[in-house]
Amino acid sequence: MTDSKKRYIFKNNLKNILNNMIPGDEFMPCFSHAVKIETIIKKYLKNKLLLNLKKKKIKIFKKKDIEIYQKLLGNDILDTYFTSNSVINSLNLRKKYYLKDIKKENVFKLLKKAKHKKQFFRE
Amino acid sequence: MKKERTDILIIGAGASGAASAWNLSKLNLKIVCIDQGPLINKKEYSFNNKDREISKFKKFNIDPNQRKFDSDYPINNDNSPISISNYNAVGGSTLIYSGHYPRFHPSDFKTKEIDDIGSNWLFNYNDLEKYYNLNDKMVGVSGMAGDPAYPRINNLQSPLDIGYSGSLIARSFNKLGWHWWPSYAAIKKSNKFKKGIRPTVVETYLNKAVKNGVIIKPNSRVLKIKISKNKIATGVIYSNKRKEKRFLKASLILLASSGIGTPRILMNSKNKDFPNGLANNSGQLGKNLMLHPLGFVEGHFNKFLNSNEGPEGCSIYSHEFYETKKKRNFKRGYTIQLLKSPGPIESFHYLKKFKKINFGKSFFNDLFAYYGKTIPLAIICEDTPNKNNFIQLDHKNKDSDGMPGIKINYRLSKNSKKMLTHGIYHCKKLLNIAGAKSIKAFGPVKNTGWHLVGTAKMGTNKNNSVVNKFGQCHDIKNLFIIDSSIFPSSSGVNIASTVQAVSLMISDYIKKNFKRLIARND
Ligand SMILES: Cc1cc2nc3c(=O)[nH]c(=O)nc-3n(C[C@H](O)[C@H](O)[C@H](O)COP(=O)(O)OP(=O)(O)OC[C@H]3O[C@@H](n4cnc5c(N)ncnc54)[C@H](O)[C@@H]3O)c2cc1C
Repeated sequence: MTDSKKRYIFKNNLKNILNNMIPGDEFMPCFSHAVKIETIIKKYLKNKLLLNLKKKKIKIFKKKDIEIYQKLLGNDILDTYFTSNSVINSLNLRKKYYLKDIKKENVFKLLKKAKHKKQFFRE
Repeated sequence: MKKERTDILIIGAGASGAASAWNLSKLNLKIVCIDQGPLINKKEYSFNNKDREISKFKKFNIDPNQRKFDSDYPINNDNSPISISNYNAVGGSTLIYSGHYPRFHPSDFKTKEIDDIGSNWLFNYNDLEKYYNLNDKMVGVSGMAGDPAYPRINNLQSPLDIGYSGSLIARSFNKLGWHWWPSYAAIKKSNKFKKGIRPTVVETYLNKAVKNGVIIKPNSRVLKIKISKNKIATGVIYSNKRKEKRFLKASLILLASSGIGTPRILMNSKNKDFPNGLANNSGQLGKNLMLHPLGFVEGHFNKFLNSNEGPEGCSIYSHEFYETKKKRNFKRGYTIQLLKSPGPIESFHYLKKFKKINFGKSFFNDLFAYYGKTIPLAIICEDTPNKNNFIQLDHKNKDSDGMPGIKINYRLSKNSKKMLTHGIYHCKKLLNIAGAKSIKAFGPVKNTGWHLVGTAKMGTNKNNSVVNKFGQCHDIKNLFIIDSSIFPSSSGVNIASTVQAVSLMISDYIKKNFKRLIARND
């Protein structure tokens, strides 16, 4: 198999694994929508433990498969995902949606209702 | 050994050293401020960096034993339930500190007199007020005037937003009739950044000092202070980046290396005249270590509260239980602080630790069950001096220059334990009123030794203390200590504001008396 073919298979496998690990939800993008796989592929290409990803298309069926790859890929994946602009924007949109109905009182009004009005420190 | 010379040498370019470097820079003298750590680019340590959540576990890890940089020194915490946190670089621990910036209470300066516990200071709140005000102006402190827990504090910048979680907890404080107030912060409000902009002492003091001619010497670790036959400090031996040893001659030396770093240098400078450590005829050096035992209480809510946003340190606080009350079973008291909850990456690691999150289909369900839905409270307990809580040189663990590390010997007092239990009980009550569906609490929290106090205490004479009220060593007249080592008591609040006010006060004294102080050298 040519190197470019191996790279192609590797990239698709990596994308598949990462999207299974972080599949996205109504607000959050899946991994490959947030981070271009091309930008991170270099880091993993030479990892000997991931050699099988170059050989053929792999399938992920079970939770156990995800756990295995999570260990191999490490937590950097998470760091890359959550520092991407698209995820930061999604978290902001999510925030706005969930804060719609939450009451936030003005700090001056709240302080007016506080019990201590007179200074109470000891000289 | 190559020799250099300066009029004033400040050892440590952190919170205390920077304030004095600026204050003394108005004198027409050669001033060098030396630090064992590097000068780091501002862009790297900004709290608003996208990767802040990551860097705080890597380059800006609060634990020197994990960082293990050349500029760090090993700290053995095996004999202490609380481990030490710091940062060793130009800017010191302000590169990583949260910027919660309260002052001490007037009562903190006289705990022995009014509560028969701890030790009195040799000056009071009123003496220090002028320096608190000057420091607030230099640093740019935000907050709200009129807090009934304090004498009036003026000229504050607009307070930071207390957020949804702040608003919820403030309502709960009101229901219980307990004191609360928006936090004082060394942070500037910003429309762009929710956390605000938090400068370090590099921006607030050091850059200005450098403009006035102060020389900053990074990557230079002081190993020993040398003295003459007549017990006058003559200079220091330091090791530079290339690990070459140099002698830097100085007319006056100011130690500003923190409550751990300062006694370490003095202990390592022992000689024939001072076999137990330099300036330690009193035997008090390294003793009376105080650390502010910290309790943590976290409420978990059904609703998203956006509690992950807001100032890094504290958005509102309460001094309801700060002062001694006869009906309580402990003396002195504590602050309750409302903290920010963790961001997504930290939330993930936290949940992982308790096996409550998995990658895969349930990933976001698991994450969002926690992220932004918790309210963490910290209980900062006043610690009292005790000679059995002490630090010593650790000859088994050395830094990159071969200088011994530090061993911490520390136990919580009965008073602190009772205070902590009281704090946890009352924080749970507060979170219950706020509607928490579950609450988790523990203390003391291990990695919270960030306020390092008392190891070279101030006192009336050379038998009971290391320095006098001006931070001047009783035993060596041209050697001053300007950091929190000299504090005789710890208060129940974060200390940086007081550290810097005290540093300014001492350097004012030095400014006025410089000629007289060095005349003694001849
Ligand atoms: C994680 C964390 C959060 C904090 N949050 C807050 C907060 O919100 N509010 C607050 O008030 N306080 C806070 N603090 C505490 C505050 O940062 C410190 O009290 C303050 O910085 C102490 O000032 P300092 O000058 O004594 O020490 P530092 O600021 O630590 O500076 C000491 C300097 O001395 C240098 N040094 C030490 N030994 C040598 C040597 N042998 N040779 C040359 N240089 C040496 C070090 O490299 C360092 O740069 C926090 C601290 C930490 C660690």
